[in-house]
Amino acid sequence: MKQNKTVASTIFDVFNHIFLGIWAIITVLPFLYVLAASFASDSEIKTRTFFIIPHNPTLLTYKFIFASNYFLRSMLNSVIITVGGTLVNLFFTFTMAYALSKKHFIGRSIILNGVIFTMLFGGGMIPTYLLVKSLGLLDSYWALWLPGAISPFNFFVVKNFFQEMPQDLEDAARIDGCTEAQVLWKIILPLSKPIIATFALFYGVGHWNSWFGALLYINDAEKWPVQLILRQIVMLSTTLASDLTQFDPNFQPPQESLKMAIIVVATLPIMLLYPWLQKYFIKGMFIGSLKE
Amino acid sequence: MSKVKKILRLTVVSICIVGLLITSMGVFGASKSKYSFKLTLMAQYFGTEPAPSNSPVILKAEEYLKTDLEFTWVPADGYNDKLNIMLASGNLPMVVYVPGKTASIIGACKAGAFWELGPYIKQYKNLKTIPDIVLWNSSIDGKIYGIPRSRTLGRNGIVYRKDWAKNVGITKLETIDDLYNMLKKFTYNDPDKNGKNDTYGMIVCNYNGPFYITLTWFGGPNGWGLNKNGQLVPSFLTNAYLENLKFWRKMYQEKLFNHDFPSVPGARWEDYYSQGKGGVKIDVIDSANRIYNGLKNNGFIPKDAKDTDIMDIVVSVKGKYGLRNMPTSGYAGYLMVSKTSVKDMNTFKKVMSILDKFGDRTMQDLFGYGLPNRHYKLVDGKIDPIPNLPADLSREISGLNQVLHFYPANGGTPRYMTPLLQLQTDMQALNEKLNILVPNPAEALMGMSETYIKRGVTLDNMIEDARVKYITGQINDQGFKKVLDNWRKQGGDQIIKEVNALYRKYKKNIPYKEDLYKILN
Repeated sequence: MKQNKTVASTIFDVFNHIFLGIWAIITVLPFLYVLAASFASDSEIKTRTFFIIPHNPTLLTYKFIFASNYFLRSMLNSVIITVGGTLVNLFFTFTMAYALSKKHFIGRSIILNGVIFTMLFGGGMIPTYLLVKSLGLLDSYWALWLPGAISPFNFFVVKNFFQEMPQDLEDAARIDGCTEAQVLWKIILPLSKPIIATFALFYGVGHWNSWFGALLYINDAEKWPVQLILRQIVMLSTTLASDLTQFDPNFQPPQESLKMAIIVVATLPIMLLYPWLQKYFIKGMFIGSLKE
Repeated sequence: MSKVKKILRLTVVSICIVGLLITSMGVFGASKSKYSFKLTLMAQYFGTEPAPSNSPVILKAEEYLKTDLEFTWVPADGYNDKLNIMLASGNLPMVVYVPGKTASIIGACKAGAFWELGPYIKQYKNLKTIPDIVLWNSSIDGKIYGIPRSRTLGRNGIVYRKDWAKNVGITKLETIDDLYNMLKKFTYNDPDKNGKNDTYGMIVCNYNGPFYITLTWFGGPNGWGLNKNGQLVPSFLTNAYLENLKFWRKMYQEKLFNHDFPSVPGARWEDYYSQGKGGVKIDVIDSANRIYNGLKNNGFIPKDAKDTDIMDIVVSVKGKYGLRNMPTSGYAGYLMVSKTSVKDMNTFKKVMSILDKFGDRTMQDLFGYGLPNRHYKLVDGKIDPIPNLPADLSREISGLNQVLHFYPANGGTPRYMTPLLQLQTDMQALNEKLNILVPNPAEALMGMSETYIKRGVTLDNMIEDARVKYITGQINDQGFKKVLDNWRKQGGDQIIKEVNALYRKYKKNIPYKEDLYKILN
């Protein structure tokens, strides 16, 4: 299809390309710097302000990271927390949303109002901690999975998505002999792939990036996720200032390039997920695959 | 076909779920106990990873103490959050590291969450060496709730580049004028001989320590001082403070230090020195060795130079009132014994005697430096830590020194010293020997002033803000005075009143003479 472009629209296109190009560069540059700095020596980071290609690239920091099994274990912990947590989230969010999307469900409006209530009011950190403690969840990953198993906002999006689905489809399935569970499992969920992928990513990224829950609930350092370690390293070198006499005379803040390398290693896995899920995003999370 | 597939799928899913359940519940983490007594501790750690529970250093310590040790490690950065939430839940381990007198800690002490150690501390052979000044400084509500973690009182001083001084022809540093002269020459006379005007006399960052050290040189108090009417007054209401402000503004105007100082984070402070950009540092004396190491690593010093050729240290410089210097508070955090997990007197005494043993030479060596020929070498019977240990080895001792209280001070095997390290140690001792340290009589009183607990942070920030603005010339004498009036109105006057009432009440407990903390100017 050939179009005759007017001058104005050409100018608009050029402007658009330049603008979006600059925007893309601004977005990518910090990542490139962190990547480059992770390969540079400490003195280079301190003497040069910004660079994309280090003068004397070295693998020293990566060797340091992978020399201790501690870091790899914390990565594994993060994977367990993310995968387990996401499964828990999806299971609870989708089953609850499906049930409550049915108008004939008894007590529906009471439960829905209850969910809205939790969006407006929360107990706060200490009561939540007390609850988790008295349920005996301390030091187990269930403490990270259960308290936020359902995000009310995500729940409402999924519920509305289910409500949009035509009733005829379910009726047809039932006539063909499907039970309630089979309707959900065989008919509804396959049609919901885009929205499942979307929320899997939302929940997954949330679990991967979170650290505070682990700080509060997990005492055993062997079970810590990688973000807790990353945060410790990054924050130490920036906030240490407040009272320098507090620190040991022999204490040395962590090295700059180590900090960068850990950011790279901790961010990469979750970034690699995006390309796999991207096709579902293009379809869009609100577009079903059903045509009437 | 579908049935087989279904069963297969079901088994895989259930195995996964059961596996997750088991691993996450920590069934496999059941601990074996070797000794009849178990001590649980919570402490912070710095760096990447805390010591694992099977570290040979911890095993050795357990053998020495005949006690199981169970640590809860918390990253330093999140320590206060974790501590507060555990305080609120009443779920504390037996021994807890407490970083400082926050409002919640003061409240918890008053509410009886921790054992009061005051009556017992003198019964233990190591703990009784804690100096009275430190005990008083660290007291909460007039009582001792924790074993303070020792820091040298005379840790502050002036560190400078000796090679630079030689290059610009300076031979002595005795008075404030000498220092000013040195800063000037370090800025304008190309002390590093590279032909470029790229050096500062000193580098300053957003940490206010250096300013308050120089305040004592001008006859000002350390925090609070006694005026002629026998009243305690905060330092910024004295003439010395204004004189000090003017001194700093003059240095700022003459560019003797970096103009971007309010935005330089403390963590980057020493970097500038190790890049050879600054010559004088008014701060803790032990930064001399760190600067030297930084310079060496960055290739700024000749290979054959001795460390004492590059760096030099003086404790203070003379002003109108002779030599004066600011001490540290003498401690950094406490070890407290929780009442929720140590319930009876017998257990408490047991815990105290173990904590006392933490001061023994064996424990100070173990938790301070690790194991010989693994983490350090013995040179002439002195400890010389092995630099750049592999990650797995350095991890074995990581964080352990955070549970030491370091009493008696220097109770461990002495460290092998380079000439510069020796100089640092000598200068710290000299600081205390010369009797020039100005104590802060209100150090322990602030935490008792209701108004200070409530509004202290806001009020302190007001003064801090005005201090920076005055130095950078954004406000003048009137502007500063206005801030002071504002400070008084918003609770300052009330704090002065409360602190003086407390001072009269606790005066007999204060372990140093009045004339040490008199305001001279």
